[in-house]
Amino acid sequence: MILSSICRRAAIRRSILGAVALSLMLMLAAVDSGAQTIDADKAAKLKAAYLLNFVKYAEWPDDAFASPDSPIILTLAGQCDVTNVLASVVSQSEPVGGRTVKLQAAALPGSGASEEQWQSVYESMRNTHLLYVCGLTGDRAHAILEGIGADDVLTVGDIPMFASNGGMIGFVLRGNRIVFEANLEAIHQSRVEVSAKVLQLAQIVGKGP
Amino acid sequence: MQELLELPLERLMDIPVTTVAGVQQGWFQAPAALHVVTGEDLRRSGHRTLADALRVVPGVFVGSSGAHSWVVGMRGFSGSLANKTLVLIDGRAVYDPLFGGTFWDVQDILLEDLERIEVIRGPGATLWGANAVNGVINVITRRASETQGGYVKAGGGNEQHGFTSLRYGGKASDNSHYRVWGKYLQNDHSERTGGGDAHDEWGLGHGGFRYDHDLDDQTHVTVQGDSYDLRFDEQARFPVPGVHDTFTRYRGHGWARGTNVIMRAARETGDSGWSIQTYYDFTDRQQSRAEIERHTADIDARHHFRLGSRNDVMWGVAYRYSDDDVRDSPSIDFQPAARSFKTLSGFVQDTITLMPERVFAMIGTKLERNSFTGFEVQPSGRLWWTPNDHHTLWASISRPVRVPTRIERDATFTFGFIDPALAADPEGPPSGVIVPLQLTGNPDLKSEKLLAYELGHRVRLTPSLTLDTALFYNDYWDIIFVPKGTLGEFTDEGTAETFGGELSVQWRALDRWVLDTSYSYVQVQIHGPILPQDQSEAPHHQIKVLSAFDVTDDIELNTGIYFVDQRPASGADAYVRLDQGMTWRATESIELSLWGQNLLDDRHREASANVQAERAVYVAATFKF
Repeated sequence: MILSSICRRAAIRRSILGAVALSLMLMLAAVDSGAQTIDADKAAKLKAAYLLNFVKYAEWPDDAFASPDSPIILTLAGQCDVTNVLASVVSQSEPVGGRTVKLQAAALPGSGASEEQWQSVYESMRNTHLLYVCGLTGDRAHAILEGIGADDVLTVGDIPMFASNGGMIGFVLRGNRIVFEANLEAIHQSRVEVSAKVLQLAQIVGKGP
Repeated sequence: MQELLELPLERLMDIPVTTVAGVQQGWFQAPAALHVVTGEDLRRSGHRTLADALRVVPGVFVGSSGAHSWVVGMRGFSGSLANKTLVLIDGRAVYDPLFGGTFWDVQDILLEDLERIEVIRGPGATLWGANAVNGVINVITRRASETQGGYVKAGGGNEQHGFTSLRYGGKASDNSHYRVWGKYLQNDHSERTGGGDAHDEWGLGHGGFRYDHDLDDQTHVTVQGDSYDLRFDEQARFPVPGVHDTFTRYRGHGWARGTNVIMRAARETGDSGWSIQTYYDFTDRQQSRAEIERHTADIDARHHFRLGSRNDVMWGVAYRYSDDDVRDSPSIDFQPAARSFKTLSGFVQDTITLMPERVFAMIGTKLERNSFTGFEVQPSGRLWWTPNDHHTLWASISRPVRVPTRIERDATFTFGFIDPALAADPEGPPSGVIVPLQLTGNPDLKSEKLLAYELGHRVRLTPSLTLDTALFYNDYWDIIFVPKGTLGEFTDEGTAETFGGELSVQWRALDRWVLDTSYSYVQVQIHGPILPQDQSEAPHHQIKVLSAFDVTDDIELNTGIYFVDQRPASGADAYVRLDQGMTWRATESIELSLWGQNLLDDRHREASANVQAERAVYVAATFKF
């Protein structure tokens, strides 16, 4: 019984290896290393939809607004693919929690700008409620986060490792879908409350309390 | 864009953003009767087992036939012939080739880590092969990178005496993630019709791991495995040989153990991709004093690539080896007691863009050589039209086969022993000769064949209202079943037609309220010298209503209403099942829920005449860290 099962296994092993070898040869011959083709338009629309959802599911402290009528300010910093889509959507969108949503783009200085110039840019960004960073280097994004230093800004980024490096929410491409990571530590240090609904769907990076 | 804004957050995560011209993008364009149950859907349904979770799928019949057994079928054949559905967990086939069905009690994953269950009603022949005759159930768990951190869930109720699950996920490096998990549950016995304990209490311990490594953005390697141990009480009746019409009652314990390891590597670049998977699966089960031990090894490789500007070709090869060793019981005997079964298969399919972005066709075939019936060919063709973003119209013809199982070929069932004279005239003199009442296997069985015609339509009426319809007409021949008199030999001379359809409506009624409703109809006609059991085993009508309502950001009210038509084969009347649950996210890391299941009925029959499903209530607490 044991002997016959060992013999059976040897024969099987050979035919399995044969099938595997053949298929590997055929597959490796035909594989191409073409990059994934992202539908840029679709991706921009999706990120815009996400951003509006983040605004919907976040709560800012009362003192983040000058008055009960003050709008929720969404600031874009960097080369953002969502700019046009977001602009058209925000102008038509309904108020969130009784406040309208206002979009502004930060005027970032070019390379070679002095530290002072950057400081004044950070100052101007401090009044924002949601800061969306995109198309910048990881170092520059990190510098912006540090420079703003406000605890009532929801920081979202479309830069690799954004959430791992201190941002609150970062977009990630997983396969052919866009999902988002959330840094629990950064979210807890902030006075912005992010709904459990968002956190439940996020991939968590950074330890919570 | 307006449509995107109306979608709930969780649905945004399902939208593919890569253009793969010629190949369908997402569920809406799929040329098949496809339904996806997401991890969120499962969480909001309150079901605690995979078999129960399938109750939410339009057209799928799930009936409990004991505390830890279920009949799951679709498009007819929802009973003794429920051997026509292929069930996969992470690519591993979990239906048992001994009888073609699935032991649902051990098909158990950490429900929190479910990514989705894809259910295709109708043949999935080309991609999944033999046995995917009436449907494919593909259970997919989340990648380790999506299950990071700790998770503990514990709860209990009147039927589920106690359950606890825990998982921890971490990072081995920037590109590799892992998780380890374990769960344990203990469930009550079911009720016998007429009262009393059905003596089928059960408990299950299950644990596993998964390790994912991303070589780069498009290339992934996965290793995963799990192991389970099931114990249950049981009772059965066995005939006493040599004595007229006498049975002994047996009461004892059964068990099942299993372990599996899967390794998978895949690369997907949108235009092309390949994957290779291999697994080893060991199961050992003792039930009603019969024991089956099975080893399975499988390797599967597939590749897809663009050919010119209009074709997307996918092909694959697979080899599966499965051997079993059966120890007989007084009621069932296998000759030979041990057998190995090998299947070598290949498939090729071409998706052709007949008109860019509008009309597509898919033709393909699966070729297979197996140890029982030799060479089988399973061709299929699909056509679909997407006139715009709001409509998809599709049609298909397929010809899948089902290969006979060991039970149909090698088994001998002994129902009892009788003295023919006494059976004819109980008052008269015995003849002294005792004969067995048996049903035997038939080694000459051909495989069952089906010609399936399907038609489907999906329409997005408004950004928050989607309708999905599927119609089918199935023509079966060479159906294998017991002969009309129940005794004798399995025969493959049955034929049948089934037809019907499913309609499902997904409606985002309010920002905070999603309502998913479905209706399905199936009619089964069986002909030929076989017992037409299944005509009375598939309820004609089913209606399902699932409501997910967010009272506030932290409180959910979830409801499931299921109407199942009568099922005469098990003496089951039509019933309405109501499940109601409330979930409270107390903090970011703590969630509490209370669920009532089968609230309208103290008990009712489903898929068994002898045992009944009961009302159940349970509470559960979840802690994430």
